[in-house]
Parts: sequence; C-alpha cells; structure tokens
Amino acid sequence: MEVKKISEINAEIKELNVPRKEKAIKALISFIISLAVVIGPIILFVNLLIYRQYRGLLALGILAMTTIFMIMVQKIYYESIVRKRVANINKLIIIPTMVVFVLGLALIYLMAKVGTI
Amino acid sequence: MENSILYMLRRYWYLIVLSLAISLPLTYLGLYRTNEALILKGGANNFVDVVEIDTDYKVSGSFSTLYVISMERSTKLQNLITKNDPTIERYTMYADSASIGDIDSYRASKIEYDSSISNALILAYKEANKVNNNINIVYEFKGYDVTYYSEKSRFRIGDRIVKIKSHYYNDRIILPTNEAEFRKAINNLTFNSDIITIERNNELIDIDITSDDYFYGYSMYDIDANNTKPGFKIKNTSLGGPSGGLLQTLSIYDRLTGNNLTKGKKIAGTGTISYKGEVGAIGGIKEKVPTAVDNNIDVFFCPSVNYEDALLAYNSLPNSKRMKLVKIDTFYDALNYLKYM
Repeated sequence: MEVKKISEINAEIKELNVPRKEKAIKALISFIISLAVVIGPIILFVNLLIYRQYRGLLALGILAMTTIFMIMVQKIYYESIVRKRVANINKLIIIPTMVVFVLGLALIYLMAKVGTI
Repeated sequence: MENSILYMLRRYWYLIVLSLAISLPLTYLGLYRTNEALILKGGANNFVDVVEIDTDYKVSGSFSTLYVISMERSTKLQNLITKNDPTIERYTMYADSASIGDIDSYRASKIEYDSSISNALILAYKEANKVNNNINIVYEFKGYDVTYYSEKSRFRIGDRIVKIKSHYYNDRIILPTNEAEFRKAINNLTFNSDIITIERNNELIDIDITSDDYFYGYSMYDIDANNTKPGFKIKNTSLGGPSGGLLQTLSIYDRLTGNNLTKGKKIAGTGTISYKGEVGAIGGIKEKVPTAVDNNIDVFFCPSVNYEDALLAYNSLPNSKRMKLVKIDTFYDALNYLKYM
C-alpha cells in the first residue's frame, strides 16, 4: 500500500485547483453541519454541570464532542473538496485533532488540580 | 457551485436529520431559561484555607463552611432532568430576582461574601481582644453595597449607599452603622420625599426615592490590614453569599485565641453573622445537612429559624446520627457549646 506524506497529499489537493470561493463555501457548510450535530450533546453536558460530582466526566464528554466536531469538519470539508480524487486524506485530519485533544486534556487536568472540577 | 452544495447535502443528509432530531430539541431545551431556581448539594470548605491568620497555632480539628450549588433561572432541560430528584430543592423566583442577570447575581453574591468575612473578622478580633488585649483590629465603616434591586428600581448592584436623608431621621442626613437600624430606615422611607445618596463609579448620585426604588444592601468595612494584629490574609475564592458568617467567625476566633475550640472534631454549620454576633437565616439548609453528613462532620450549627427544616433533613438520612445538630441564635451560643463540648 502506498504511504504518502502529508505534504504530498496537500500538493495533490492543490493540483485539483478548486476555486477559493468554492473552498470557502464548503468549509462553511462543513462547519455548520458538524456544529449542528455536536451542539446538542455539548449543551446537554453543560446543563448537567450543576451536578458537581460529575464535572470531571462532563468535561471529558465536552472534550470528546469537540474532538468529534474537529474530525467531522475536516472530514466533510476534505471529502467534498477532493471527491475521492485524492487518497489518504485522513492523515490531514489526525494531527490538528490530536493537538486540540491533548490541549483539552491538559486544560481539564489543570482545572481538576485547582479544584474547579 | 450549486452542484457542490447539492452534493454535500445529498452525501450528508443523515447528519442533517440527526441534528434536527437530537441537537435541535436539546439546544432549545438547554438554552431556554425559566423563572425557576434549583438548589443542589455542594460541598464543605475548611475555612483555614480561605482566611490565613498570622499565628503559630494549629487547629486540631476543623471549621468548615458549607456551600450549595445554586442555579437561578434554570433551563427547561435542567428542570426536566432534575424533575424526579428528591435531593434537589426547586422554587419559583420572584420577577425582580429573575430580571437580574447572571453576572450581576454573581457580583451580588461576592459583595455578600465580602461583607460576611468583614463582619466575621471584626467580631472575632473584638471578642478575642477580651481574652488577649494584644489582639486588635482597625476598621472603618464605609457604607452599604446594593446586592438586590427591584425591576424598576434605579439602584444597581454594587452601588454604595453613603447617605440617607429621611423623615425617619427628622430629615437629618445620616447613615446608620447598625445593620438592623439601616434595614428599619429603608423600610420606613417616605416616597417622593426622602433622598438616598449613592456612590457609583466614583460619582455621587442622589436618588429621590419612589415606590419603584426598592433595594437591599450589605454593610461594607475597610479593615486596615497593616495595623490589625495579628495580621491576616484573605485568599481568592469562587464562593459567594453570606451564609458562612458564623463558621468564619468561630474559625478566626479559635485561631486568634488558640483555645482549641474544636477539640479535634470537624465543626461545620451555617448562618449569617452580624458584627454584634446575631446569627441569621440562610437558604439551602435541606442540602447543607446531607452535605455535612457526607463530609463526616461531628457538629453542625444551625440558625433557629432554619432548625425545623434542618431537623427534617437530618431525620431523613440513615447515617446522620453520628453528627450533632445544634440550634443556635448567636455566635455566643455556638462558642459556649464548643467550650463545654
């Protein structure tokens, strides 16, 4: 199986010459669809924060939904841009998502340490 | 472009259906604020962690203030989730209270908390001075900060009442330092005649009182930390409200006098404190009693006015009998109980 570098995948996408306006609209639609899916569960978890004893778990739940949101936005965006003309686009999604996830975990850890959750 | 948008809508139609079926109702229910309020069990705070006193004396037990989680203007979703939870108290807010926003509510609770800590410090130091006259507090009364106002009132949270010109005082300009006297004065204001002067954003404003101008306030003191002996330091906390006053006073007094009031036990309770030592009513007593039991408290002080509700909560818990529920009216009642415990 061919293993491509992220830079190679980006280069292939650039070669598709998708107009900027189309990219912007697809990015916006991806954002709206993904937000529409995760906003409900996030609001549910926020409402449940009145239960002090579950705040840690709820914080992790909000982080999980945020991570799912990140994955969905990028996946929908790239799939609609490339339309199966470029393979291995999942590689582009992993690193930004992992960064957000790790930062979120660190924030939750800090909040737990100071007693906020 | 149109093809692209249609492509996306066709490919991800199931996500759109999912969001309409699940996210949309959750968003509506979760953001719609009602005029209901919820009170849930909170926790206990060892007061030594909140106010440090410059002394070598180490408390053998602990004095803890108890707090509840209060959710004013709860959402429809929160009301639904907590509907059948018997441990949660719910009530309908007055229209005036409901009109005060979250940020102002928080500011008001911080004012009440600061007032409570000041009263506790003043009372504890003055009482400790009777035992050891090297213990001294230097303070100055500054006025009353507004913590509540009616819907059409011209007062705002944080306004400082600095003068009252009232028929109640024969039109003299006065500001009583006694809180009970202050409350009597504002309850006896003559509308369209009496004037209250407030300080807001460093500006003095006269308010000709009308029937719309209802408000409530708490006494504020400046304590001269440099000339108060022994010194003290108040740490930042996210807690608010005045209900910890009694325990705050007991904790400070114990550390000033080094009399080992706790005798190794965990002491908690609730009740506002005036600088004269009177203990006032609080809210959330039905949640504070179980919180105390959960935290293995040995003695729980409860204001007389809240005692009936506290006893109901106490008797309903299977594991409460280890804790002593003590009814008190003043700081001195609690002090005497601990001395002879």
